Amino acid sequence: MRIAPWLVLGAALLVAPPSPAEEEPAPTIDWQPDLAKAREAAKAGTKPLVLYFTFDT
Amino acid sequence: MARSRAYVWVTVDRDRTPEVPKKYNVSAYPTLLFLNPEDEMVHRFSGYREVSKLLEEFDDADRRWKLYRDGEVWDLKAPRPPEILEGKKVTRIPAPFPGVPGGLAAYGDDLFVAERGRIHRIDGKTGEAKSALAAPESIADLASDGELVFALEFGWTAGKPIHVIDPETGRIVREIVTKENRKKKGYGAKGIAWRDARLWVLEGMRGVIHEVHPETGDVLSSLQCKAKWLSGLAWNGRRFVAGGREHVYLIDPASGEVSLAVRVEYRLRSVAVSGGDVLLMEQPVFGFDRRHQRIQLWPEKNWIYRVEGIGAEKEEKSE
Repeated sequence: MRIAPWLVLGAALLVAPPSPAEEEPAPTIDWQPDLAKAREAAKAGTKPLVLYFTFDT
Repeated sequence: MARSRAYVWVTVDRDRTPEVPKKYNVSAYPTLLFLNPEDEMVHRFSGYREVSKLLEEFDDADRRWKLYRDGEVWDLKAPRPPEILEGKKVTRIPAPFPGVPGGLAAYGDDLFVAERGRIHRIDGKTGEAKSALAAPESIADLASDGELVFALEFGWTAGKPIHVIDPETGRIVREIVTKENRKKKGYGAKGIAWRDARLWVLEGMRGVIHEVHPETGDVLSSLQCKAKWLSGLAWNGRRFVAGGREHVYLIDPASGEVSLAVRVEYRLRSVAVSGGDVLLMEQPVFGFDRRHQRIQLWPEKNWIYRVEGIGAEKEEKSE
């Protein structure tokens, strides 16, 4: 008896448990607490300083 | 997020350090501002974005930062098409002020054009200034019945009046208030036209045209247009003319269907009809210079565009 390849593949997918996905670390941003120090850090590292303007309320 | 390490990040809380947003002319939240060591703006954007659009903004920031690092000019404003529309004859009339227009109306051969706190009367061909009237601050559009000028407040939808102005003396003759709007809060009136002894007021975002009694202010009927996000309204004798973000629309007064949509390259703010021509004014584009000052990017000078042939019968059939 011949078994169609797609049937074998389908059965394998049904039986095989999905491989556990690697957990990616949550994206984080290294927020600088002090504007003056951040300005210095940006200058030293020759990176753009990004100000994110938001509000509390 | 490795990419975030390409920047140094600081949160600025408006309520804790109000002087910082003031310094950088920030009034929209959230805003991201990319600065170089000279405290100059490299890139800036406001509002929430989908992830793909957000990454495009960072791509743009990176591109501009590289130009800055290489000593190149990084803050050229984005180009735009040289003409407001193609395929029709367009003449430009100089508008008498910079900034955001507050409406446009034809008055014989003259035009009335509003800015914040003033309504100018100018020659409809040359733009030559004839007179200027004091006006309320938040006028959204103008209309005329040939004798009087009607100045619509943006807040008409929340019970603010339509001012009736004598164009010869500049005096407000009376005010038309739609009482049923007083209980509403949303501001969104964007256009007004005169047709068949009635005023027609456009709620721009929803694309609704209200028939308003010019004495009582009562809403007699409402027409849902098939186009939304409109600004500026006029009547060409057969159809309403309304401005859109990418089109000027001719709208059937019975069904609200769009009879004709003519593509325009600049977002429209005000429209009028004069002698068979359609007059258009654009919504200016604002931005910030390197030193964080708010500036008008486009147009460099305000114009009123007089367009011939929009709505001519044979063109309507061909489009």
